[in-house]
Order: sequence, then structure tokens, then C-alpha cells
Amino acid sequence: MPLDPPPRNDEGEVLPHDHAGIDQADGIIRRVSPQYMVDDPKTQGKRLSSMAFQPSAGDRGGMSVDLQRLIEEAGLDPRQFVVSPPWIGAVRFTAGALRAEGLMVGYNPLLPENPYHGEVWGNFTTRLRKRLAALAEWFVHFRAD
Amino acid sequence: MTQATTTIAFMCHMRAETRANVVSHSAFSSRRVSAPPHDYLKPVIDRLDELCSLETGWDGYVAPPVSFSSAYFALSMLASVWPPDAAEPQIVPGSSGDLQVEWHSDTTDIELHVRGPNNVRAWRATEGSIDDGEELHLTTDFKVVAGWLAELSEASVAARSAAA
Repeated sequence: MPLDPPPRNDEGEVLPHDHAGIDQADGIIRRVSPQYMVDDPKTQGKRLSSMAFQPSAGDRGGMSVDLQRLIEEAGLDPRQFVVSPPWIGAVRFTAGALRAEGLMVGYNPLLPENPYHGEVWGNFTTRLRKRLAALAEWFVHFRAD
Repeated sequence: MTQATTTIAFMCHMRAETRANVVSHSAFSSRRVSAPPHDYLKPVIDRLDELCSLETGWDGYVAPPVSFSSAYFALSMLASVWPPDAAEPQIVPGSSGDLQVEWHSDTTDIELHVRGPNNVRAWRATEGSIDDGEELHLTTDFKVVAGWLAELSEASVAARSAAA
């Protein structure tokens, strides 16, 4: 079912909001770049930096995400849709897990390139970003080549 | 002028400026003023150069490259607080032209989120911390971070000595 349009200001910009049409169990996908990977001696391998979970600049800037249910309802494969460009990987949360961290999960379609785009708003302290890094589950790993 | 040429020219400027800044930070510079011209910063400069040259959308959304002003500030900050005998930091771009400088060891994590010039969120967690670590907002005084890095360096030296 399509989501209701998000709230906008007079300039047409989407305002931070927690969208009632995004269910707690809905998948919230965050694309991640290999640039975010760091070496960690504790794991003796690479892991995502907390910088992978960071909002965009500006007062209303949230963390960009893709809304999995909307992609699936459009008949698309979310694992293929979110890896554009192809060297990108992706991790997944549920909306409920993000809300439990005090965050708002909203809808911000970017037309025409990404009508399934959402944003997550809140106070992204380093501590919160570390918790998000721990909560995130791999959805699409980086391509090996 | 191409983007690459602009970036390289800027970084050459940064190298020169960094030397001046190291001299001006006398509290941390006694070991470095007389040292050869900061070759240990070269990997950092190369990494910052790379991050300033990222294409818009490098994160899969609309992130811009790291801003010159944030890169410049990060380099000046590192020249002031980073002991040459400490591990090389890892530098990660952010989605707003910002960046984060990180050190990770078996016992300590340090992250300096450079949100812009004179706007840094510094975070450290050590082994045995009972909470999520300590987090500070820093602007011009980075003595706390210099202390964290000195402790990190000393712990690494002690671990190497114990292993030898």
C-alpha cells in the first residue's frame, strides 16, 4: 500500500517526521560504501565505522535510507535496487529498532531517481552511531571484485 | 583547472601550513619542530587528498566529497596532537563533507568526528569502561585528545615490550 505523502514546509522540503505508515517490522536499508570500512584489531578484521550512520548536513537533514517494503511492492528486488552504484553494499534495520533508539523514521521520495527513499532523524551522537553500527545487519555485502 | 590539479595544489599548501601550525602549537611540538619535515603525515595527507576528490554520491546517496576546510582542519589538528610513535589513524568520510579520524587497538577506541573547522566530537572507550565511552565537544583546545593518544601510544609500547 502506498504511503501517505510526507509533511512539507512552504518550500516543499520534507520535514522531520515519524511516518505512521512505516510499520515497526518494516525493513530500513542503509547503503554503505567501502569507504566506511575500518580495520579493528579486536575483531582482527574489517568492520563498518560509526561514520556509516550519519545524517546529511542541514537542520532538516536526516540519514538517507531505502524503504524495503516500498521497493518490494513495486515488484523490484531490494538487494539489486540498493546496490547502485554496484560497488555499494547495504545493511538493514527494522523501523522498530531505530525507533527504540529514539529516532524518527520517515518518508522522503526523491523523484524520479528513488521514490523509495526515506530518512531517519534524531540526535546522532557518537554513542548512538556506535549502537547503530552494532544493530545493523548485512543485507548486501560488497562485491568481491 | 582540473579538480585533481586543484586538490594537489591545495594539499601542497596544506603541507606548508601544517609546518607552521606545528610550530605554533608549542605544548605538543617539542619533539617535532626539529624533526625532518613531518614525513609521518604523508599517508594522512594522501588519504585526505583522496577523500577531497570523491565524487558526489560516493555513498550511494548524495554525499559530497570531504570539504577542503574540514580536511585542512583535521590535518592541523593531527599535526598538533598525534605523536609520531602512535599508530597511524584511519580516516573515514562523512555524508556531509565531514570526516572522522579513528584509532582502534585491542583495548582502546578513539574517534574524532570533524564536523567542520573548530567543531569536533571526540569519543573514547577503553577496556573495562562501564558505559558507552566518554564523548566531548572540542573547538580549539585538543589537549585531552593529545593525552588520549599518549596513553594509547604508551599502551602499545608496553604491549610490544611484554610480547618481546
